[in-house]
Amino acid sequence: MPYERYHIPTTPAPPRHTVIGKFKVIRDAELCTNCGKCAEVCIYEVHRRKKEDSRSMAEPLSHLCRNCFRCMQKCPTHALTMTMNPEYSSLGDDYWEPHRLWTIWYEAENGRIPVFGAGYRGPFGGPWFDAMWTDMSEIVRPTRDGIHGREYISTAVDIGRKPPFLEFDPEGHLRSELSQVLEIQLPIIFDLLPLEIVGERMTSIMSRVAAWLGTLCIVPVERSDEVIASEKTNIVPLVRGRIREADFDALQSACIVEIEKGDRFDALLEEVRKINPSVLISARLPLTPGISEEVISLCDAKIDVAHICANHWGLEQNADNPRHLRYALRELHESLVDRAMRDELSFIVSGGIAAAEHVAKSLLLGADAVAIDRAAMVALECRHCPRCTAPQICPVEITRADPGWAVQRIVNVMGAWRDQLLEVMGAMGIRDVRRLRGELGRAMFLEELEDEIFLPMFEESAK
Amino acid sequence: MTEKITFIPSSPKSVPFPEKRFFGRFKVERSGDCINCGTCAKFCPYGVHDRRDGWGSISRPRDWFCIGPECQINSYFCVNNCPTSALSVRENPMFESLGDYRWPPYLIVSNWKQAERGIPPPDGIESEVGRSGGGFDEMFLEFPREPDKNISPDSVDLSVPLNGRKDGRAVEISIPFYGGGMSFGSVSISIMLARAMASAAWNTFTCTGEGGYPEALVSYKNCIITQIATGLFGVREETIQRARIVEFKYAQGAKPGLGGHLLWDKNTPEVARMREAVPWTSLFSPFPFHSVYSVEDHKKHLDWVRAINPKALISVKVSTPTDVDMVAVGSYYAGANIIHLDGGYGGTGAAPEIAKKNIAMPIEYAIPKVHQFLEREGVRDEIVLVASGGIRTAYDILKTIALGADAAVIGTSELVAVGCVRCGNCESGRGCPRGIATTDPELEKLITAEWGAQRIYNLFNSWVIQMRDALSRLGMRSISELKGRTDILRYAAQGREVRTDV
Repeated sequence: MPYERYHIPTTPAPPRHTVIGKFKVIRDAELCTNCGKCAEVCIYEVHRRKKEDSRSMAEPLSHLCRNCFRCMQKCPTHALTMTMNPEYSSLGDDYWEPHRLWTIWYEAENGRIPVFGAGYRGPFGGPWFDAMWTDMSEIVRPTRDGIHGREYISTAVDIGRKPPFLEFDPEGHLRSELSQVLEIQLPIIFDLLPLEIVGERMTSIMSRVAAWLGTLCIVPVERSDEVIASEKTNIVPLVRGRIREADFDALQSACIVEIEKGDRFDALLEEVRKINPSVLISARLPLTPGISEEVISLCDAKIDVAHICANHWGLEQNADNPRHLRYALRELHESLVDRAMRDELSFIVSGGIAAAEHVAKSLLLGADAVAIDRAAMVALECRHCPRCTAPQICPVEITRADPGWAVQRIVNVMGAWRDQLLEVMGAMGIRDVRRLRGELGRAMFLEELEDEIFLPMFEESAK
Repeated sequence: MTEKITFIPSSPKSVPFPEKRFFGRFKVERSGDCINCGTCAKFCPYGVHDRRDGWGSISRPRDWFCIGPECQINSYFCVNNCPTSALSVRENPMFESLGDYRWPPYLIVSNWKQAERGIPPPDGIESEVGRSGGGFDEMFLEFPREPDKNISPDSVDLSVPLNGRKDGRAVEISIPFYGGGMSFGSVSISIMLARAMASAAWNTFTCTGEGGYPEALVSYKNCIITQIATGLFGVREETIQRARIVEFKYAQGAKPGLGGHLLWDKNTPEVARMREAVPWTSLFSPFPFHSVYSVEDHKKHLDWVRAINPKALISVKVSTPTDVDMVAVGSYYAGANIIHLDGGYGGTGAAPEIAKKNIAMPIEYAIPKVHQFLEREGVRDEIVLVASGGIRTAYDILKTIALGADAAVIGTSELVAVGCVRCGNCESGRGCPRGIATTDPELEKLITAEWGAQRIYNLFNSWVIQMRDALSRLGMRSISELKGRTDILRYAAQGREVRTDV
């Protein structure tokens, strides 16, 4: 096989609907004398003359505004003012904040790492993933230069169980049974999309994305017939209820099958193994407070993958005081490491993965890969509206998106996320994403830093 | 060949924005009922209203100096005193669209006021901190209830020696901060000159960054640090020989572990000449120095500079990994005089958002970590610790020093003083709409070096007043007494709060 560097080709894919910008530039038509000074000084092209009548100024294109205020300063009649765009501030929710949505839109459109000047402008820490920093190397340790392509940094991961050690018989023949692992090119797979309204076409869009990127997407087994033959190995059929005869084909061609952890799990497991004895098995289970015991029991049942689903904020499900993945995942990883059984299965986590940094941070906390759902929808301009019930009310008409465009938008986000993962790994001097898993020594946590550094200093004043 | 020094500011002077009007938190409006009686100008102590001799009418209100409707409790409130009720004061709806968590609008406007007049503004605590919810923003100086009245603010000594080693090479700055590296190319020559002029006036330093040493700066060479970074752009023997301090940039807080990158459209022929590169190409500064993978390699680097200029002090600029304390002590043993920690909140150039937010620890943790470690190693007095990356105000400088640094390094606040609104488009060539971080020949003209120098001078003047006042209230006679005094800091610790509700 020829040596080939894995690379995600991105191509600009402009949005179909005007992006909601942070600012709103308002022109007072009564005061405006159409002198055009604003258009002259604006370097972002917010202001322009009307196409149909160049004597007057067009409505400002607020979404391009970067609040430099030059037009307002220059306007001789003070006809221009600016406010925060209320439509922007009311986007999303506390986790899927406007800024997060905006960032994904930017990545989907450009396929590039978001780069801006003037330093970090956000909050100091914040909840969960935000109160965590990754390490870097200087002087005493090397770094890697991944993003400019001078050094190849691998983002491929293995999914499956690995024996902790090999056994040989007295004659020197291998006695242990070698388990299968599946290599995917990104530590990111695609989960079921959270919204039912997206319709049938999404299955084929997601499988195309997965095939293009050399990764996987989870598809309900009853819908796997929507996937074309060449992409069958990139889907993970999800078995939830009864297995129909029509599903055999998908189960036989898949490399990995996911079974929902419920009452019928054991029966379904047996059935799937009968249909395809060599297939890897992933158990889909919710992130709950008792997750460690459940995962340990999966190891005993020789399950290959635990797919742990948090809610869309990354929180535990069915818990009174839900913890975030940030805590639960670390505890789970450490509890398996303590029992020397961490390699007996892989973790895929999903829910609340909303930014490139969440991928790197989840891996540092012990995941082998993450599964994304909502972020893929946001790539298609989804605004994370509070009510999403019928395709007719979707402000961005998501069901009517052209499949080619949709595929490119999601690929662009993945390209940008992979590049950002390379940045994080390069700074740490890590050349292989497999090495990132559970590297807690290369992560810094707000509460630990505060306890180590601030607590001794401020103990007095804390009292 | 030394050019004549053209300008050094010597005293605070009023230097408003050339556009005459910039918005503040409040909007003061004068209706057509005004009879130009001048009552408001007579009463307002903040200089919002101005009636110049010989002028027929009162000038447009300078509402960025207004303290708002709260003023109504004062006898001099213009709205109440106006005989024709022509004045109104209200919140400016535009105000909130300025700035961000680190630099909220009131902090930017407070900086502008200081840069315009050179004296501390009458704003309260809100002009001291941002709203990022942790670090400096939740840290406050605790003043004793009954300050020592014997210390007059004017007698407080703010000078900091920059060489702790007893080798006879004394370099001292008169104020406890100096300017960080901004390269020619990332900012215009006028900005570099303005910073140099202001530094000369205050006997402190500014840094060339990694982009060469423009000839125009040579006459200010006594207050210029030259930088050697991984791209080695514009580094020549004579640039090192003329510097009193040479800075090695190993990492940059805004993009720790990542290289620098000057986009092609900022690399004009002039910039390229200075960097000895090809114009209109993107210039990468790799990460790291590919010749340094250990403290021994690092020492070799410093020895190389010492061979070229034995007199220069050496500063080592590093970012904040988990083992930043080991890096610092390693640098000490390699022979560095200054260890410079750079955090992610600053930085004028472009950097990936993911790096600024997530890579390396915040500077507020790194300073005490390094300070205490060097103390335990018994070498703290021999090395000077400076910190940068998000130090915005005089109070941030005091907190930095109280956490254990000797001095602070600033950058963004100087740019805000000359009109930066933090729109964050510094990376591209047409780039900065305010003519700061640009090499565009047209945009560059928005700011002259003299005007900028005076504004930066004014800002520093105001900071010096604030710092002297604070230190005297703390009962300290010199800035060196503040070093490591974490006991006078109170941490509100809101950064710890974790939300668990859904």
